[in-house]
Amino acid sequence: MKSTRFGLVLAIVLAVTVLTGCMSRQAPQGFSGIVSDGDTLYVGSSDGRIVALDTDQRAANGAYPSPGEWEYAVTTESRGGFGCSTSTVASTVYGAPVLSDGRLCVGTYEGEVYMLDAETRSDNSAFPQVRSGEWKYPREDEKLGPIVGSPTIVGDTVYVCSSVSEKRHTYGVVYAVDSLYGDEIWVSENLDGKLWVTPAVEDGLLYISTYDGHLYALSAETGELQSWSYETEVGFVSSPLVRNGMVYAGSFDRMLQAVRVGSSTAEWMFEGGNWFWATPVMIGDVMYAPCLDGKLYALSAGSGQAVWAEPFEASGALATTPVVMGDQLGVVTKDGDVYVVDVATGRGTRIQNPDNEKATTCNATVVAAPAYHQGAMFVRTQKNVLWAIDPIAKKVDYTFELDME
Amino acid sequence: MANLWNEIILRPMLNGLVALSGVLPEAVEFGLAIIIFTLIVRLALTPVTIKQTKSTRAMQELQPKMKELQKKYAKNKQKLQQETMKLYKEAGVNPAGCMWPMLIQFPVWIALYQSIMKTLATTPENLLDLAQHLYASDLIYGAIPVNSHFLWLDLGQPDSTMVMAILVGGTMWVQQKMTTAPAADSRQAQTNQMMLMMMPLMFGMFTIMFPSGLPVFWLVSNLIGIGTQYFVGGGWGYLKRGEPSTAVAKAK
Repeated sequence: MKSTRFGLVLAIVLAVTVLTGCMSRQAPQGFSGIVSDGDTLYVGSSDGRIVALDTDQRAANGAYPSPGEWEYAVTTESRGGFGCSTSTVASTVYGAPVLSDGRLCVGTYEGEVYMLDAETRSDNSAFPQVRSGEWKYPREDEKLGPIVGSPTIVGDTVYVCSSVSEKRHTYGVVYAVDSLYGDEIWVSENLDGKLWVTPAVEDGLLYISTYDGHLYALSAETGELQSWSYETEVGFVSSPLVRNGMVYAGSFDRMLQAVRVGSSTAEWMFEGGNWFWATPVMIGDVMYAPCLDGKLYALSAGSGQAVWAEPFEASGALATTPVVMGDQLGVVTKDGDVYVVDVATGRGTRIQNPDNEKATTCNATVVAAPAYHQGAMFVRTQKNVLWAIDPIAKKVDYTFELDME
Repeated sequence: MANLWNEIILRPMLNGLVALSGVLPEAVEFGLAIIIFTLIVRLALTPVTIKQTKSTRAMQELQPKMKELQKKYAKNKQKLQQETMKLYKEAGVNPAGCMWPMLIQFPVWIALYQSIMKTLATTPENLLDLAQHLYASDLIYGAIPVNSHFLWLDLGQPDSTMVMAILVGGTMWVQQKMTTAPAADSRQAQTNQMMLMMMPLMFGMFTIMFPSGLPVFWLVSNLIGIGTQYFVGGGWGYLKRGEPSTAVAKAK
């Protein structure tokens, strides 16, 4: 009897330990990126904050916040205790903030879109300030489905993708919202599959790649689904890149697919060793595609042929879009190694960690897209540390802890 | 250590689950894959399970004699302990015998649990993490993302109805009730009663909180456990009688 009781107690303890341990890993954490307006660096933290930094002050190790520096915690109402109580918790932000006329737009996993005015935020005023161009969409208590990609702003319209689970299906929905007032302009029809992407816009058409393997085009003005769509047997894992009537996206079968708008077959496909998770970056006619197999491929946008003799091989999976720094690319591995890669040759230099040469450059996981600002490359780790890297001297300039009060 | 766990246990199991999902009809692929995979793992663990069931039954068969000893030596705990150990020795029963098989099974259940959760990839982080665990095979990559809808459930989301919670809690209670012998004294009976209710209630709660792919695994696992107990352990055990099994009665 004692052993049965002991067994039950042990089983309970083990079950609770395992389940609670794994539960925390299931919770969305977010990996918002960095954006620069030339003067200020805006960093999305991994705890739902948008932090505006004066990098001159940070380089000089000045007191934080200096004039013009601010941070705003994007929060949401969360229901707990079986819906009996509500509390305010940090939102989860995956996409990098998007800049438009001094304002920043972010979408949250909890299904809300925020437009923040940088000047108003620096005053630490309550959100949203009337007549400042700040708003939240939807305005009422209701929420959209999870937003994973960044919003896309074209002219006066914000486009954002979300996913809705209903009954036995998960749908993707695209929303168009007025960028100045946050008024809803249109809502697309339900599209099969999750939409964890940033929409791309070209020539008045909005392009999206879906989890269930479709490329769709919608009218940017009305949201009307165009007659052309492209279908593949597996889903798309990356957001689309659109250039000159060609749509490029990574699919779950490890392919990078190039599809001409209007065509039902792929123009070319390039197979990697794993998923092309991050959207490629294009310079001229060459596409630089990071892959989770740890390689950066340089491919001709027209033919998919390799441009470099060998792809650039990093120490680990590449989960972020490289940042263009003149004739160099800033590349970051998921494990936190940073490289400066020559665009022409594909040769790269690893940036040493200043404190521990055996550790990766940032010694932490990096999933947020890096940025180039005032001659330096900026990388944010999931530990909320910002790393400033000098791409010419190829060394770490300084670090700044975003959690610092 | 984590790498060893991933390479030897987690990755083979996860990829097996994904591959199975890839060959099943798309409409039910992942739900059915969880059920089949749970059956396969249970089947592979059958020798261990049977050993555990037999050990548990042997312990149950000693209950009448244990009760006599408890009655006889109610005031002498030390003597009771000595006589109990003597009884175990004479019957050739190791009191920890029903514990070890259970402990051996734990890593397998944990790996199966992790495989299900990782494959469902309910958040972007999970999906990114999944990429690092997949084998380089067209079948595996072609099966991702898995269809998370099964019956009325979205396997990546908690079940909003209470159906799964009731089924998981109910089957767990039945399984435990089949093997929990009635206690000799009222205090022990109270403790047993509490233990009997605690696990089903807790797992019922977990079912409401966790993505429903996991409760499907628990439910199937419970049903197989009930079946094994029924056929190997000799009928419904203490569920039907609330008293030791027929075999014990005959032994009396």
